[in-house]
Amino acid sequence: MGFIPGAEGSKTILTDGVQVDHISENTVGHGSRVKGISDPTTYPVLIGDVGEIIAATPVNVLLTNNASSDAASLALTSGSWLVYGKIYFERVTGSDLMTQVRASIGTSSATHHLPSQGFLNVATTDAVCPTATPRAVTSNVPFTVYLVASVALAVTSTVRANGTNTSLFAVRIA
Amino acid sequence: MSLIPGIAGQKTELFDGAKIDAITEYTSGNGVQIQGRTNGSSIPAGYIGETITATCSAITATTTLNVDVDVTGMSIVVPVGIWLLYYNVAVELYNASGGTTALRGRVRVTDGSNNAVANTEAACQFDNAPNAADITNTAARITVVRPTATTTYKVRVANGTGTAGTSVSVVGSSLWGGLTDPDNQSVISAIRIA
Repeated sequence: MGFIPGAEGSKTILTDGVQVDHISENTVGHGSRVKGISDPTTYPVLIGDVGEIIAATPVNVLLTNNASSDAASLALTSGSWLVYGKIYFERVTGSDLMTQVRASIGTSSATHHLPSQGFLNVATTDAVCPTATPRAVTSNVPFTVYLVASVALAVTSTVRANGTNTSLFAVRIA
Repeated sequence: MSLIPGIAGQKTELFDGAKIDAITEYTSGNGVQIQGRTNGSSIPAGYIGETITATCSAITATTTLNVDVDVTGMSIVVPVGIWLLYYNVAVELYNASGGTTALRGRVRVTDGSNNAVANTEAACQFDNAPNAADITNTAARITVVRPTATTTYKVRVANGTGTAGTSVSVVGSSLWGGLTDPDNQSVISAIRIA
C-alpha cells in the first residue's frame, strides 16, 4: 500500500497498470472523470472492463402456444451488466392471428421477468417485434441471462422467434 | 506535476480511497480501462453503476382526455449526476362502451413539478379494440438525464382517447390472450453513468 506523492492542486501522472479499489473526487462536486476510448479499433475494451459488450447469436426457436421459451441467452461473468434485446415473432404456418406476444430478460430459463417485460396485444397475422426493457443485473458468480418469449394464438398456427432478427446484448456497467 | 514511482511493466498500487478528479489516458486513443467488479456487493451511492429503481404497486386509472396523472409507486429520487433513465409500463386500455374503438394512452416521465423529460414520451395503443375489453400493452423508453439538483422522476399516464367509457390505467389485472396476469410489472430505473 503506497501513498501518492502528489502535491494538492498539482497533477500526478500514473503509470500504466495502476491498481486501486476506489477512486473518489478530490474536488467536491467534480466527480472522478475517466477518459474514454477515442481509438476503439486499436484499443478495444477488454474482457472484464467496464464497457465490455457481449452479443448473443440467436437461432430460430419454435414457440408453443401460451408457454415461455428462451429466444436467446448469454453466459455472463460476475459483475454488473445492462442487458437489452428484442424478439421478432414470425408466423410460419397456419392462418390464426397472434393475439399477444411477450418479451423479457430473465435470469431463469423460460421464465418471464415481469418488470422488464414488453408485451403487445396485437391481433395480427404479421410478425411483430416488441422490445424487452433494459435490465440491470448483478451477480457475484457467473450467470446466464435469457431473452424469454411467449405468444398467444390459436393452436393451428405455428410461430417462431426469428433468430436473424432477434437480438440480445449485455454491456458491463461496473 | 509529479510521477508515481512505478516501473514500466510493473503494477503500481494506490491506497484504497485515492482521491482523483480526472483520469486521462496514458496511451493516446486507449482511454482508461476500468476493470469491472466480480463480486455482487452493492455499489455505493455516488459511484458509477449506482442504480435506483421503483416499481408500480397499484393500479392508477385516468379517464380525462390528455390529462396526466401520477402512477402510484413509479417515482424515484435521483441525485446530481449523469444517469441512464428507463421505464417500462404495462398500460391497460379499457373500452366499456362496446364497439370496435381505437384506444390510446400516453406515457411519459416528468420531474417533480410535472415538467416532461425529453425523449421519454411513448404512445400505447390498440387500433381495433374488442367490445368492453381490457387491452394491455407495454410502453418503454430510455434516455439520459443530467439533473443539476436532486430531482424526482416519475411516470405519468394520460388517456388519449377521450371516448366515453374508455379508461387508461397502469398494471392491468386481466389480459386478452390467456397468459398470466401481469400485476406489479412496471418499473422505472436510473443507473449512474458519470
